[in-house]
Amino acid sequence: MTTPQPKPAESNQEPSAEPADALQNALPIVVEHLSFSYNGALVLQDIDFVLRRGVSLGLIGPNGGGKTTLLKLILGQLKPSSGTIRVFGRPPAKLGKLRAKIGYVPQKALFDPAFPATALDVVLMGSYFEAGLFSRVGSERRSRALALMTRLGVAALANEQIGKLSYGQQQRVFIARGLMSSPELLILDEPTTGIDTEGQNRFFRQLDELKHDLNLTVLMVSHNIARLADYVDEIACLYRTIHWHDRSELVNQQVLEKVYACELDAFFQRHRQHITEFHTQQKK
Amino acid sequence: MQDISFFKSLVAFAFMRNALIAGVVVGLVCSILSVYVVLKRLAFIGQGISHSAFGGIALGLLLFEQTAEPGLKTDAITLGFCLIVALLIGWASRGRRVSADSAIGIFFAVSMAVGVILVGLRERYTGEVFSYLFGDILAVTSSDLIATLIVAALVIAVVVAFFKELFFFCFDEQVASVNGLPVRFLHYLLLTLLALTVVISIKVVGIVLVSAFLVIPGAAAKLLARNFRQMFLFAAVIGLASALAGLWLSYLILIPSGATIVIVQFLILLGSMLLKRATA
Repeated sequence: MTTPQPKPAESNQEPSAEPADALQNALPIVVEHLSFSYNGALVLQDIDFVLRRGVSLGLIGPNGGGKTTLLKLILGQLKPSSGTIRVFGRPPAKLGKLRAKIGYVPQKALFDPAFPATALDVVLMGSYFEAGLFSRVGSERRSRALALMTRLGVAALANEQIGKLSYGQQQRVFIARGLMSSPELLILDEPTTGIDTEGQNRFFRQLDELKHDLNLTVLMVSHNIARLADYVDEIACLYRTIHWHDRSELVNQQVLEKVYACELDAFFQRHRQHITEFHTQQKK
Repeated sequence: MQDISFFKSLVAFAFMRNALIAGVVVGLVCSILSVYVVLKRLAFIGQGISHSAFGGIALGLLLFEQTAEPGLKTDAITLGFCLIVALLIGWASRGRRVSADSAIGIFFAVSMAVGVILVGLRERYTGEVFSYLFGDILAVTSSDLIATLIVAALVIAVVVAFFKELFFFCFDEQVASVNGLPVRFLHYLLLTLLALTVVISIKVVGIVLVSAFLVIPGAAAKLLARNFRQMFLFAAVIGLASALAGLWLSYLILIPSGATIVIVQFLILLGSMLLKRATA
């Protein structure tokens, strides 16, 4: 049924007291007893999970289930009401230079479509933190950006205005930006929103290749359960609390309802069959 | 029409040279900041900061009119007023205590109310208040000009130093924050630059019209630019060209300079819209 993840042996010491090697080798994400309330409403309750190196985790759940809130907490945009989050051994808000180890691809970006930036400009933004204040980006980073764009099939669009690209092309530009700092952990928030079926298939294939070639750990929030299930190593459902899918378990209607322990929205209802089939195949 | 040509008057009169230099410098600095005002949608914030200057001006006039260098002292107190209001607006707009537009509306109206009361307390004729509201470029003194040049150089230096960070901040603040950029600092930095620019623009264009300087060049440049650097370049050219053309026209047909520059900027904006439409 639900599979509580084993907890890692974590030190109780403050992160600053940990030796550099320990930080380098720390697990990408460790969340313990995390709860978060907003305006008195409990959004996340007692979340525990560990994301290990090289693993891809798909986070699913109905709208309003706390997926984006959890990502914001992991990214240091929000502070937990209780519990702890460690990203590469540190609290997310105190990552310092380790922040470069995270690549972030936002949900269908909320930028102004008429914003005067080329696709290459946007990819280069991913190197600003590494470049530091008062310094120029430089030709080496420019070459790296173009190499990533070539890999993602958007190099020909380098000088096009970002708002004129299709959603799928924009998404690949944002992935290239997320990879500019040579991250170990790639976090994607609803990456296939607004992309057609063919584009979604290509996106997941490319992501899989990138994961293997660049030794990435991946955390992805998605509604696209059917395709997500084909590409990720682990799936968890979030609806205030977190529930894990053991890939070997048989998921039927009853199990789903118990596992999710939540009122599934219409979208989930539509995809229930896909999940059931997927888990059935895994069992065989 | 004038009896003496615009260029001859520049040679003959120091106040004309001061006016030209101040007009061009303020036009340039405002147009550079207008890029951020347009992209980050700070037009109303800019208006709030500029109107709040009135409280500082009135206080300066009341306190310093009998002292040496009342202009610079008034500028200093106006800068203080603008900075406080800019930071208060910034604080209110980042949190969810009150909505940003309500905060701006409240702060600038209160600051103007304070200004009106202070002006009313003066025993002297208060006609020069009009020049603060709508600008009086021919009244720019040499010390005003030096202060303007120093502040303009500072604003441009900060923009150059934080060019790429401000670019990312304007494009997507959330991702910039996740990527480790100091977005809160950049937010307050932009508001501080706005406050500084407003103060040096008051003599040239006045607190009522400065918001046009802080919006129109950026809005016109955005229509034509394909990338960020182009937008800066176009905005700067529009800012400079409109300042020069506006000053020349106002001299030629004896109309107020600040308002003329604003009208020239507006005509350039209309031209840019037509050009955009023709090339789309």
